[in-house]
Amino acid sequence: MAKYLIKRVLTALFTLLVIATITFFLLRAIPGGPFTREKPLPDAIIRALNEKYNLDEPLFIQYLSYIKGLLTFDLGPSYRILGYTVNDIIISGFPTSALIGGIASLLIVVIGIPLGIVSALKQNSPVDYMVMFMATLGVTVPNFIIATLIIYIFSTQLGWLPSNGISNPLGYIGPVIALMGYSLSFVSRLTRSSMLEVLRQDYVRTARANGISERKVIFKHALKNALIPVITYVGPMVAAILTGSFVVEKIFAIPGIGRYFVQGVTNRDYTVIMGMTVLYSAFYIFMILLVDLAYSWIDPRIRLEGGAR
Amino acid sequence: MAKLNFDKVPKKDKLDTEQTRKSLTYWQDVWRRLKKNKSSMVGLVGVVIIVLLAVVGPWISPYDYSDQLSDYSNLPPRLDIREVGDTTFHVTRIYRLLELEDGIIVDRYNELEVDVINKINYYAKEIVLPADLENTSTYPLPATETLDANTYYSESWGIALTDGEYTFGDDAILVTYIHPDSPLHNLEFEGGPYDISDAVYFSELTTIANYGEANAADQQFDIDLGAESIVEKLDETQFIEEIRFFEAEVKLNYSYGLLNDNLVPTEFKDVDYTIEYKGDESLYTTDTIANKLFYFGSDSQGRDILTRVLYGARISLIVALIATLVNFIIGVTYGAVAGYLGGNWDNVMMRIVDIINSIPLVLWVILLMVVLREVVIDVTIAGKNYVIFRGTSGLGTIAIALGTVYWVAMARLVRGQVLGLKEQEFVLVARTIGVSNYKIISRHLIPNALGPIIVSMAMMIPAAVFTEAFLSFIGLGVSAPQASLGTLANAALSGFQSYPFKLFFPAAMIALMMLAFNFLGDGLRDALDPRLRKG
Repeated sequence: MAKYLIKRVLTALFTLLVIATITFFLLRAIPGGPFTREKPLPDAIIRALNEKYNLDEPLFIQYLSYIKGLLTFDLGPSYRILGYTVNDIIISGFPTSALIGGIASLLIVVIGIPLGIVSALKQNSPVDYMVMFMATLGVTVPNFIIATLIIYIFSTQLGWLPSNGISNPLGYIGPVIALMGYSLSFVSRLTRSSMLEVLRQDYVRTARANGISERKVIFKHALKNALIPVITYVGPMVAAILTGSFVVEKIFAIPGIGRYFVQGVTNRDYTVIMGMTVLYSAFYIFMILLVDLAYSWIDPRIRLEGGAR
Repeated sequence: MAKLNFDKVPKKDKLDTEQTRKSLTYWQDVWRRLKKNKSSMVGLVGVVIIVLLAVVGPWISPYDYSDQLSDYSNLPPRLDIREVGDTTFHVTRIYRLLELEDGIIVDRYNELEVDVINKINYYAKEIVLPADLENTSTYPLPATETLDANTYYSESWGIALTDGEYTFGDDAILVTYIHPDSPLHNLEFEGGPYDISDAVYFSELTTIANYGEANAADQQFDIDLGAESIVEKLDETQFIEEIRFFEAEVKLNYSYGLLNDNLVPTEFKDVDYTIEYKGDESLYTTDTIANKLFYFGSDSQGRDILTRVLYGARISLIVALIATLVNFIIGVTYGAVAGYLGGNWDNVMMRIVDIINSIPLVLWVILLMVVLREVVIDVTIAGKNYVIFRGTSGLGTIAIALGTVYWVAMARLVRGQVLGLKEQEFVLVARTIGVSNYKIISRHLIPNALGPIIVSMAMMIPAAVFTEAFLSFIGLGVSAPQASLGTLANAALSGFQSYPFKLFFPAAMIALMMLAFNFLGDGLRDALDPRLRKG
């Protein structure tokens, strides 16, 4: 187990390095730079700025010094948000994004999976149709439309929720729902279909034939296997949700980190893009590792490569 | 037992017909299964209707997607109307008066309107200034404050004014600075703070010069005249009762809606505006009728939303289609080759796929858009120059960007299929008799993997529509005046509180498209691969 973990962590670090490298060179391939303005700055100023941020050095030297910074968790200064380092930006915005994302992820799991189970158990009943109707609606309406509808109905018309910001705890409701919409629907659909498949399998029939209570059949025997595809989806989803959503944070005016990536790309703020990419990738890889560990816990037949027999 | 005890079964009772079913090819069987599935047929019909609308709709429509009737901007799909005598009026949200005949807008009170709007706002706003305002000393501009050009400062009132524009585009005078000691600062009115900028925002005096003797050289001027006149008007005017459109003899009075509540007489509390025409007066909305000029309303530039939505659906579909096609060609070829060659080739090719997969989508799209913007592919045939691809439009660029990102999933899928198929006997036979690798892949492997490929493509279309909407939303979509559904929805967001219909129609169209394609995709999946059937 320990050997497996060490191997996976090393691979993860290597993958992270590869992603950082590709993003680094891809960014420099995009025309324009962090100091390109619609009204061009004087050459002397650009030269001075490039010198200040070491952007005048050969690309490979810049790359090496960036990687060196990365190894010491120094993500460098932002070129456009003056006076802030990327570390500052992440420290100030990430807790907010992570809190909203964390609530959303938790609710997706806590609501989505039971809904899926219920509609699988009551297949073709009104409950099933209701859940599936909501789920279909959820995957077909883009989140920026859900977000604006929430603001329109609950903030403007009814006045129940604040229309932006999170100074009031009620302010979390809108963003969390907008963030959940798609994934919640997807998770409940996925749970339902994989549950239906598992319930038709022989070992479930055997368990029932042996007279094991229905409750035990569902929760002890069927659910565990049915959760495997769900966990495969939920892992990367949590990484995506925790690191903030540009759309939701923009609409609800939330000071998270979701907007920095898109802003960074349009501004060619190299270090910010790199920082956000590395942060997201690190989360993503970590979640996939967790998912793999969860597999072997749920289904002992799935053995971890190099794990103890 | 004697043979005679048994009768022969007559021929017509034999169960002949039921035993055999007409033999069907794979695709006939797929079609049969698809037809049995209700929701997928709904999806199919929906897709056909949407495609027809998107293709034909913009042609039939009397408007072009870029036609602007700027006089009729922001009209909702249902108009609140007032019937005054024998004439019907509609008043827009920004108090423009339209006359209707048989539900069709025929006249508009054009020339006088701007003045009238300014005037009523001026009175309505200024009425709430306290009347006992006095200035006791002078308030020189502090050295720390600097004024922009075109800004004028009054020492006697401690206020800086500049020519500006009100949101509606009308000229206005804006308060840009108030001296902290000035009596105009921290005004209180009826127990609450009152913002002076509200009072001067709208003005019938449309330039600074009218406010007093402006001295452009040192940007100082005396506001006495203006301020006094404000105070005077406060004394003599309770509120303005009527505004006349002189030539047409229509009086539109919307001061009730703008005035502070306790200044409005009780019987007019819930009156938004009144219209008086030829002696008849209307206080309340009499009816709402369908907007026959623009069935889905018009946007802020006076463009027909129905046409824009249909056209947007067309753009979104084109983007999705090109993306799916690119994805099909690259993904299937790449996956099939990787799977068929196997070994180290497979390993290297799949690692490349992993790497591409790890690049953030937004980064990739922006890179492509910036790079492709410069690219023009053209051919010269018989002296004539045909442009095949021009990056500037944004449409081709975004489609290619989406296609080149999404093929990764397709490549994985095809590779998996091919890995299984290539071990089967028919491939071995083909190899034995010397069929070329190209033919084995194109004739034997890909057709056999077509089921999952089609399913994946059907699911690709809604995903591409979704992503395109997202990219348009963050401002990377097709460029104006073209508009995809995502661009339309994004543009509608800013005025969403006042004009929800502008968001509703594009959003509904996106949702309908997604629903139809999702239903069809689900049905196709069940029909093409019964083993995958869910529930």
